[in-house]
Amino acid sequence: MVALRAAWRGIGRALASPKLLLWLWAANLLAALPAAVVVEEAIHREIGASRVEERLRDGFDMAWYGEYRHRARGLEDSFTPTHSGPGAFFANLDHWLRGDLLELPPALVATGVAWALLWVLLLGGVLEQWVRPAPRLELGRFLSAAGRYFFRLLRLAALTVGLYYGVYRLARALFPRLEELTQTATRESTVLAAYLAGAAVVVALLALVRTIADYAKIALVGEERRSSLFALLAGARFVLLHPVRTGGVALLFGLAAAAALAAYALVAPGAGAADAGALAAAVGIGQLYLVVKLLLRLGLLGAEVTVYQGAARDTLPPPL
Amino acid sequence: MSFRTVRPLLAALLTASAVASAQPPAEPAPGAPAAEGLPAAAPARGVVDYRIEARLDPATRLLEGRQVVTWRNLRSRPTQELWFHLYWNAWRNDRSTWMVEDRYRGRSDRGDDAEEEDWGYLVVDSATPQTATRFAAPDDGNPDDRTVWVVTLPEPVAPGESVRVELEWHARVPRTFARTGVRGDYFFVAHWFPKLGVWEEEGWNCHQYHAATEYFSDYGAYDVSLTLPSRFVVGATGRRTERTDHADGTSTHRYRQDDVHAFSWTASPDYLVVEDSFHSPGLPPVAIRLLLQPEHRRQADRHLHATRAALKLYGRWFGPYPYGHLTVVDPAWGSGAGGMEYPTLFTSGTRLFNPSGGGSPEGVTVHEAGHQFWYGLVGNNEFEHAWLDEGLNSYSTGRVMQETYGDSFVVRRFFRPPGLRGSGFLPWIYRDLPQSELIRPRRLDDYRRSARSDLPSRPTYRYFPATAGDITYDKSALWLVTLERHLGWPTMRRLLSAFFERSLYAHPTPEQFFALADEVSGRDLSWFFDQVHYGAAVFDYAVTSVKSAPVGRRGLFEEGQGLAYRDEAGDPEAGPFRSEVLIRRLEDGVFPVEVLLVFEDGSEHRESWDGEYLWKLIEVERPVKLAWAEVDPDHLLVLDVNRANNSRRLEPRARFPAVKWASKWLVWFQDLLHLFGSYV
Repeated sequence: MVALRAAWRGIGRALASPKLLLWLWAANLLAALPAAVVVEEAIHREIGASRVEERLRDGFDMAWYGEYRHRARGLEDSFTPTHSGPGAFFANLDHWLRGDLLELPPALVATGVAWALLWVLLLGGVLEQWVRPAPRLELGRFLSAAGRYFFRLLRLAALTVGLYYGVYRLARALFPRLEELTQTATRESTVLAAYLAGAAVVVALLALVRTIADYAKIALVGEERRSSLFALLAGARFVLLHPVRTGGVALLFGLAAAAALAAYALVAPGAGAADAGALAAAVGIGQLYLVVKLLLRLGLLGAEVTVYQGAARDTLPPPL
Repeated sequence: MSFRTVRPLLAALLTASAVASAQPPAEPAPGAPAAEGLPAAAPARGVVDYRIEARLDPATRLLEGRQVVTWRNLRSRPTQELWFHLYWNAWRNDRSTWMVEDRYRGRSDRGDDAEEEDWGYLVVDSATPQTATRFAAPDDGNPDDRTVWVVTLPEPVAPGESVRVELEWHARVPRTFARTGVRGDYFFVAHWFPKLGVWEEEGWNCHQYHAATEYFSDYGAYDVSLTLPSRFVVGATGRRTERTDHADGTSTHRYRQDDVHAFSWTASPDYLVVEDSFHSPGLPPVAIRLLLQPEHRRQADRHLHATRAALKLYGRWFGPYPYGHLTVVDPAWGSGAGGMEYPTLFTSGTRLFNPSGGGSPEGVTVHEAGHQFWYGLVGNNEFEHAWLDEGLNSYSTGRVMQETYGDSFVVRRFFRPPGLRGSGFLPWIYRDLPQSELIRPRRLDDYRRSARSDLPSRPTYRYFPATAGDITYDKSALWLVTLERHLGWPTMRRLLSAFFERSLYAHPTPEQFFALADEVSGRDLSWFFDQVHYGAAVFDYAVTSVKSAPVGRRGLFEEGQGLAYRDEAGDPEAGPFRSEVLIRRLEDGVFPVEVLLVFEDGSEHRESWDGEYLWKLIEVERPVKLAWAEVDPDHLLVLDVNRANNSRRLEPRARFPAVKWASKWLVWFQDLLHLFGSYV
C-alpha cells in the first residue's frame, strides 16, 4: 500500500508540473532533431524525383529500402521501417537488455552521450523540485539547482555507469553459459525458458542498479551530500532496508510502462499516413507516447522521493 | 543381438541381393532424349545401386556400416578406378578444404568453437576387391583433405559392364556441420556413407567437399537397413518396407527406393508423426509424412499446406512428382539441419513463434519440396552448376509462394540475448510492410552486393565462398524472373517443362538449358545469357532528366520571301508543350526497355528502346505538360540495381514521404536518447 500511495503521489507530482514535463519533452525533441534532419535529407535524396515517393507516401517499398541501405552510411544506415509503430520501442528494449548502445553509429552514440549529460544537468532541477517543492516552477530556480548539483550528479552517474557495465559484463558471460548448458536441448521452448530466466536476472539487476542510483540521487540532493560515493552507498542501504517499498514502486512503474507500451502498440501508426493530417496524427501519437514515458519517469522519481522522505520520517537511518 | 553377430548373415544377404541387382535394369533409361541438334543430357539412371546395413549407437554417435555398391559403366571408356566421396571427413579437422572455405564464408557453421567430440569422420575399414586405395584432392591438391577416396580395382570395368564392391566402414556423427549431425538425441544423417562420384567421358567427376556447394551423383536403387534403439522414430529416403524389433532394444528399419541419387535419414524419439496425402487432378497422389517437433504441433497444417502447394504447382507447371511418397522433416531446435533437400525427404524449419503471413515456414517448405524437382528428379552437377537447381528452384519457389500466399510481411525478431549470435526469439510482424515473394527484397540486396563478385559460368565450387550463394541463388533467380517477363510466363513454363522432361533422371548442363530456351522461345537469347551467365553484367537504366515547357519560337524564321525575327514565348496555360526525357544506360548490362511518358491529363506516350547505346533522348509535343517519365515501367528488368532512378517526376514530391519516415525515426531516436539518459 505504501508503494501504491507513493506511486500515486509521484504521478500526482509529475502531473502537477506540466511545465516541467513540457521542458523535458522539448529538450529531448530538440536533442534528437538534428540527427532526424540528417536522416530526412538522406531519405529525401534517395527518393529524389522518383515515383518511389508514391509508395513511400502511401506505405513503404522494401525494394527501395534495399537500394537506400546499399548507399547509406553511418547515421543514415540506422533508418529502418521496422522502427515504425511499437517496433521502435521493442528495438530499444532489446538495446537495453543487450547493453549494446555503443555499437550504434558514432553520431548516434555522440548525441546519446550528450543527451545523457544534459539529463544529468536537468535531473538536478527536477530533484530539487521534487525534494523541496516550490509552489510554482521557476526556470531560474530550476537552472540554479541544475548547475549546483551537476558535478555531484555527474560523478554519481560515472559510478552508476560502472555498475551497469558490471551487469552487462555479467550478462555477456551468463547467456553464452546458458547456451552451453542448453546445447543439447532440442526444443526452442527449453532454450527460450532458460534465456528468459537469464533475462529476468539481468533485468532485475538493471532495475536494482537503477533504483539504487535513483535513491542515491535523492539522497545527494535531499541531504546536500558532497560525496557521490557515499550517496550511492546511502541509496544502496536505503533499498536494502526498504526492499518492499522501493521494489514495489519500481514494479508498479515497470508495469505501468509495459501497459503504456501495450496501449501504444494497439494504436501506433504504422506505414500509413498518406496525407498531412494523418501524418500529424501519427507524429502526435508517437510524441504523446514519449510524453507518457517521460511522465512515468518523472512520476517514478517523485514516488521514490515520497518513499525516501516517508521512510526517513519513519525510521531515519544514521547518516553515513 | 549385436551388429557383429549378425554380420555373417548380413554379408550373405548382401551378396545374394547384390548379385541380383547387378543385372542391368529391365528398362535402362539412357538419359533424356535430346532435342534435335542438342547434346543429350548425360545418362544417369540405373548407374549405381547401394545396399547398406548400418547401425547407430546414439550414446557414442558411432555409425558402423557395410555396403555393397554395384556400379555400371555406361560410358564409352573403361576404368580401373572407382572414386568415392567421403563427405564427413570434411569435418575431421580444420585443414580440410571445406573448413578452409568455410572460414572465408564468414558464417562458420561450427569450425570456430568445435570441441573434440564435435568433429566427425568416415573411415573405410575394408574394400573388396581392390589392389590399392588412396586419397585424392582433384580440385585444389590439398594434402590434408580426405573427402575423395580412390579404389583401384584388379581389373578394368569395360563399357557396359558392371562391378560390385563391398565396403566396411565406421563413422562418427558430428555435431551439426552443413545440416548434418546430432543435437541431443536428434540425428540428421546425410551424405554419410562412401558414395561414388560420376564417371564421365572425361574421367571421374568426384570433387572434394566444398563449403559453398553441394553434391553430384548418379541415380540408382537404394536398399538401406538402419539399426538403432527402438525408441527412435525414423524417417528416411524411400519407403520403409520392414521393421524388425530385436531383443536388445533395437530395431532395424529397412528402406528401399529406386531412381534416386542420395539417401538420407533422421532419427529422434521426439518426432510427432502426422500423415497426410496429396491429391490433385492429373497428378499422381503422394503420401506425405510429416515428422514434426512436438512444440510445433500447431504449425502442422502450415507445413502440409505448403508441401501440397509445391507438389501441385511444380507438378502442373513442370512435371509430376513420381515417387508417391514424401517425408517432411521439421528439425530439432539448434540442430542446424533445417532447409535442406534429399530425395523423397527434405527438412523444413520453423520457430516456436512464427506469425502467419511472415512467409515462414511456408517459404522454406515450398523451396525444399521444390527441390524434389530441381535437384531430385533433374540431377544437375551441384559442384559445377549449382544455379541450375538452386536458381531454378528459388525462382520457382517465388512463383509458388506468390501464387499461393501473395506478398508476405516483414517480420523482425526481438529478444536476442546479449553475447549471442542469431536472431531474436520474439517476432513482431509488420502487416503494413509487405514484400514480394517473387522478387524478395533480400534477394535484390544480395544480388546488388555481389553482382560482380564472380562469373556465374565459372564452376560453382570455385566461386568466392562468401558470395557464392548470392550468385547461385539470388542473381540466378532474378535473371530467371527477368527472362520470364521478357518471354512471357506461357513460354517460360513451356521452357521449364521441356527442360524438366528432357533432364529427368539425368545430368543436364547450362548449355542444354540455354539451347532449349532458344528452341522453345524461337529466339536467339544468347545476348541475354552472355550477360547474365557468361558475363557479370550489371544493369541500371535511369531517367536522368525531364523537361516540359511551352512551345514558343525565337530567332529568324522564313516568312514570305525572307527571314523574319520572332520572339514568341509559349503559352504556359494553353500550351502546347515540348517535353524532353533523357534516358541513360549507367552500367554495362544491355536490355531492351520501354519508356513511358505520362502527361498531366493522364495521356501516355510509350516508346521502345533497344537499350544498347549509352543514352536516348525522347522529345514529344503535346497540348499538356509532362507529369513523369519512367524507363522499364512494367519492371521487366528485375536485375536493374537501382529502380529508384528509373522514374522521374517533373515536379519532385519527395519531401512528404521523407518527413513522414524521418518522423518515425525521430520517435525511435527520442526514445533511444531516453535510454541513454536512463544510465545516468
